[in-house]
Amino acid sequence: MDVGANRQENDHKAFLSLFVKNQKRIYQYILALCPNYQDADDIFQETVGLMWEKFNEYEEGTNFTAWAAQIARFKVLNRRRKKGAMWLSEEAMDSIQALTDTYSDNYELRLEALQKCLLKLPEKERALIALRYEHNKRCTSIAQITNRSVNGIYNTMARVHRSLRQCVQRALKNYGLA
Amino acid sequence: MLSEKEELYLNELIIKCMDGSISEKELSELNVLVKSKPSAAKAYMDFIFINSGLSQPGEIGTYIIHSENADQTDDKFVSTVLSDNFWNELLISEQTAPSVKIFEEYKKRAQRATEEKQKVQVGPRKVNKLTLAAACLSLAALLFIAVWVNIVPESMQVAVLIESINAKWADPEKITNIGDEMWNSEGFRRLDEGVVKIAFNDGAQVIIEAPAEFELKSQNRMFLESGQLFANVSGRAKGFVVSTPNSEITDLGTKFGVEVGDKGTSVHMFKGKASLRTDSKAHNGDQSILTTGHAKHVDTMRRMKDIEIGHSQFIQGIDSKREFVWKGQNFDLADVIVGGDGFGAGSEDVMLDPLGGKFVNEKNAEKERMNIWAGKQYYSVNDSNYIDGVFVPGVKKGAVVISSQGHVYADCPKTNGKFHHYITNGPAGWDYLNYYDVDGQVYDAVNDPSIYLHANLGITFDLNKIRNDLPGLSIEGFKTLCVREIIEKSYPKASFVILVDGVVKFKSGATLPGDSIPVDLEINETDGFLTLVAIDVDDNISYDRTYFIHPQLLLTSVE
Repeated sequence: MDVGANRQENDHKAFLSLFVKNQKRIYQYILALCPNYQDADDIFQETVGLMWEKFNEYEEGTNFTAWAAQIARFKVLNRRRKKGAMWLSEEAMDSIQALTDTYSDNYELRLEALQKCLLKLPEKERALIALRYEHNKRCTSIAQITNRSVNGIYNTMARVHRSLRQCVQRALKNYGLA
Repeated sequence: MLSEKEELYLNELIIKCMDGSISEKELSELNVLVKSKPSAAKAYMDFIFINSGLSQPGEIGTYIIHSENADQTDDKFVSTVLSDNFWNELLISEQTAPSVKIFEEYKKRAQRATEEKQKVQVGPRKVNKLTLAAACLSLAALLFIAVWVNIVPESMQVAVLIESINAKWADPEKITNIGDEMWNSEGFRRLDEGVVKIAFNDGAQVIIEAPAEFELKSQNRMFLESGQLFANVSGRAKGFVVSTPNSEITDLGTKFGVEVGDKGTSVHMFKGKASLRTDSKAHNGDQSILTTGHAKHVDTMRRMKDIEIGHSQFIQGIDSKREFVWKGQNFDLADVIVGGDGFGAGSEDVMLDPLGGKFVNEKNAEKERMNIWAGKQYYSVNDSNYIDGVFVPGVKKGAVVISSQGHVYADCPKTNGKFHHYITNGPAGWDYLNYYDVDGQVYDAVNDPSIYLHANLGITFDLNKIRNDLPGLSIEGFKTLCVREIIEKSYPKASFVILVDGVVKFKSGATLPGDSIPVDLEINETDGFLTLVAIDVDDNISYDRTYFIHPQLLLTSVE
């Protein structure tokens, strides 16, 4: 293997390793500024592409998520400019942007808390969460599968998320983080 | 602090926003809540965290690489990344990596629960899943089975027909009109005439052209027996599957066309990536990942080979109300200046008169247009819906009006205020040759349409009127090759300028015969007017022949 190819393979490995470790944080950042699955997924794809393209500009040892967030923010604003309507307002985005760093810190601890909280949910509610997040179902599809009204699913989902949030908050308090 | 009621409402708004089903009013309420209440902004972020935490990381293998220069990047990736198995590594890690940890415990429990249910069944060990489903009466149990055993109900509504033009169905019992639900229990359908668009419940949208035979299998799967379809699968609909008699195409977030004929299956990848397997039975046959701009054919012996992509082979957009179909072509402005619709309806005999802004027939043109002084007027072109107007730039140095809405070219250089010819598609008239020669490459008027502007001339197109007539499509860019025709007489200098809403987007400087400059501009959806200008540089308009060859608005379908 020549030197160039060897280096490229090392780059792949380094990028993959950092990316896999931080992808949820990056996705969280995008989703926060663009709370729409379809757009957020597209932006995530574009961000990953640009990250890889610019990976030689990333300084080893620095905050990978912060570096990725800069790229993601560019992609989010670009898409917002193109699509215009039906996005969060700039003021709302500013309020959220100010909080994103906090939510990137201690992400693993939060995740651990979330895992424990999920197991505390009643069986039926966990099944709904699984339909939503593991099977990527929208509320309209979940309504069909469970033979319930879409509004009913919205209400239940809102309640389940509130339960999860309260549970995570309590757990973080126990960790001394909230 | 948020009250319980407020938090529940906030959650509901976020969920709707995530699903793309939020109304304008609700979005505005969400904005106000997040903006005005710090506790709401925090609750919003908590919600987002739960979303990102619970979403599957396994989809990384399916993410497509795009950039501002999508084509270049794709090529780069095909050569440098795919060849080194980058994507394969991602896909393998996706297939072999454990499920998100959060769901693991749940899965174990679900597995145990299912096993417990199976233990109480009487009869052979191999449990019939449907019988099991019927036996488990609680909603929770049914949900478990729906989620983990992946049983698709025997009969369910899986899609809706959303567009239809001149559709004629073979079976009178399966006539389907716009808005009708489509069920997986309906079996094979044959579309004898016309074109239809189907929206699957999971988000994929598919355009099917007659003649075609197909079957809708589930909310994200269909079978194409014969004919051709175009699939647009974005965002969360990823994973949509089209199977054919000899292949299976699994979408990874893309736009692609499939054609099934006597000789096999062809798959054409217009954007993104898809997996193509030469056998619809799982894990059999060869597999290939198709990327943007590539196409493959699988013959009846299941042999796979590369083929040329069919850029305009598939209908990629339809609009029933206007009976409009779009096959992937770009919008040709050279066709518009001869009275066309942008897709080739113009007449080769038509010319546009810069003096007055009217179309004239070449054969009946009463007056020559040689060395004419046109004054400072902006002439609206009422004969064309898409041309806003024409003008002669720079009679005096400074602002020149370049649109009916008052846009100006603020720094237009001074000219003698004259022009020398009608505006035509390609060279036209008695003393012109029917070609333009650029660096040894010959372009001709038939195969290489162009806008011929003899300095000093300008023309403005109304992008919004064009958009209005292109339902379901958006204008992404403008592309052309600015060319100076080669002549042997002298070295007349002229320059090319392109403006959008009065802002200069491209300016060539002085060009000479034989020069050619490619231009590729981004057009945003808020841009209203595109202006092309040819300007004399040396105070002599003789032979200032400037051409905008292949002047095209680049179109793409919107979801």
